Amino acid sequence: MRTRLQPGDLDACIMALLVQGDSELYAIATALAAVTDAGEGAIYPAIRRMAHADWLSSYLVEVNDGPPQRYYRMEAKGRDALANLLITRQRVVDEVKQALWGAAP
Amino acid sequence: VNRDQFIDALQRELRDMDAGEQAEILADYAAYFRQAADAGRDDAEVTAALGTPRQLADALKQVARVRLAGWQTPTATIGTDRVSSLLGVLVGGLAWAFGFLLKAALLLAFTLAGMACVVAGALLLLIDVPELKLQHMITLDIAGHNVSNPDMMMLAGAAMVLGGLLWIYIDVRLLRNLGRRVIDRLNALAQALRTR
Repeated sequence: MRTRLQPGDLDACIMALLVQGDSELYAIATALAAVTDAGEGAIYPAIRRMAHADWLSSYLVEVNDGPPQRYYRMEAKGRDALANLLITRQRVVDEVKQALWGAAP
Repeated sequence: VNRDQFIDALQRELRDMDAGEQAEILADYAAYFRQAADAGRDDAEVTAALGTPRQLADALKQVARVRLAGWQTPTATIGTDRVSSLLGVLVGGLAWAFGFLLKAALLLAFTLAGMACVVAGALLLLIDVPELKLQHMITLDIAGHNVSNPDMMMLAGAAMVLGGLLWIYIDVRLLRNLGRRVIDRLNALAQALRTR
């Protein structure tokens, strides 16, 4: 069963992969399409959007057979954005727990 | 659909986009197909997984417009959440509409200036028709020196008419381009509304 992504999750997933190391579009798209309901086609527009916002940067790496390969790297703004996304999500979870069980978060 | 058809279709959809950005996107998709082929996938499977060129172009153009309009916060929703993507289209649309009105006003002003040039040039040409007796009504004055001799005025008039016409032609081209982008924008909005 593939995880159903909520708004913001796709960005968070892409950045979660990139936090582990620079990567390229095909690897990111196939990795996420395998485990989530995000289509392969949704990854590239999301990456470009984040790159335009300077969350990510890209650089080209020469390969032996064929044109250079574009790699993406996390930027400081992206790390901030990822932290914000995760904190917001955690806050929602805490508030729901609080409402359901009255437990201190 | 094979990769060439897909890339051709995408290129057609992106034709209004900045040339550098367009080339980058097309190169990235070409690389994508190469890697998928290396992994043993055929083009038909990959194009099916990527979605239609029109969907991708809409999403990519939205990214570019959002940036052009100075809208820097990713909405993190394109392709995953339709309500927010509608919101994104609306917000991006408002910011874009402001820029559009500014550009349209400038272009219209320039078109009017071009027309004024043509009229002024035509008047200068008319002076050279003696029967109209306009010589005493219009004089050509450059830095305080009266240069109202018929040859000069005929040349200046012809130059102004031609220059004005060229100016109007350029403005009309730019306005048509702007109009096409308005249609694109409305299509994106209609599509966002439909997919809700």
